[in-house]
Amino acid sequence: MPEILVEPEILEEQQTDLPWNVVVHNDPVNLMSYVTQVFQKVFEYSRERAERHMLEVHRLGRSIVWTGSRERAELYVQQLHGWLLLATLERPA
Amino acid sequence: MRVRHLDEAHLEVSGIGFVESALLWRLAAAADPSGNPAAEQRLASSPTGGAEPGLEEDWKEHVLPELKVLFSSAVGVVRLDIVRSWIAPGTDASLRIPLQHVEAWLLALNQARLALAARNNLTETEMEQRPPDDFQPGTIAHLFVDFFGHLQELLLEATGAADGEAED
Repeated sequence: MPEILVEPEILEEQQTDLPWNVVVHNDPVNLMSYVTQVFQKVFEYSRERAERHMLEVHRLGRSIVWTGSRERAELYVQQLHGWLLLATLERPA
Repeated sequence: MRVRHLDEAHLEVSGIGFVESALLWRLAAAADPSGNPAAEQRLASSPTGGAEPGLEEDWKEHVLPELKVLFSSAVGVVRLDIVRSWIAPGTDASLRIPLQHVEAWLLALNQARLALAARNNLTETEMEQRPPDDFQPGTIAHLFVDFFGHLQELLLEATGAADGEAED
């Protein structure tokens, strides 16, 4: 069976359309209560859900806090940086 | 030190003792990362960890300047609140914080904590396990970080976020 070649431009376009992850990384200085409240403010998560993500960050070093379009993911990362959380945008695997 | 609702529009921070006053009046200076590469870098962290060079360039050009204005503005709000509402009739001082300024306070306090930790190379181990009788060059910085964190906690408790959830 012949290998399917995908032009780089098309591949790039497809990857841009895939859902992107917003990842928050652990920072020992940020208070756990502060991080929880930031998740509530930025994503409008319930306290319980925000705490779940905060604990994941604290225990595992990172948490995928949101997944979706690149444009919205960039906006969320910007908002998280505005609260001085260590947040990154990750291209889908 | 206590934080309570003074009226519908203000919080009052009262019982600010001598040492706490000294720390609080240095909040703006502590939050300024200027001249220290580690502190400057922490307040301008990468949005992709270097994985997306194009996005990193756009970020530096368009987003970072906005964030710097935001951080500077938060510190400016806090500085003015302290200067305008500081009351020190006796041994303990107090000040008023408009509820509309609480987010600026939370951000400025966090900025100061992060800048201090970066500037003094406070590690995670030092942040979590330090003997109470220890005195190292970073001990005073640690005291500032702890005090600003304590005030953050009090403000967060006084203004607890609403428990509403939006869609994913």
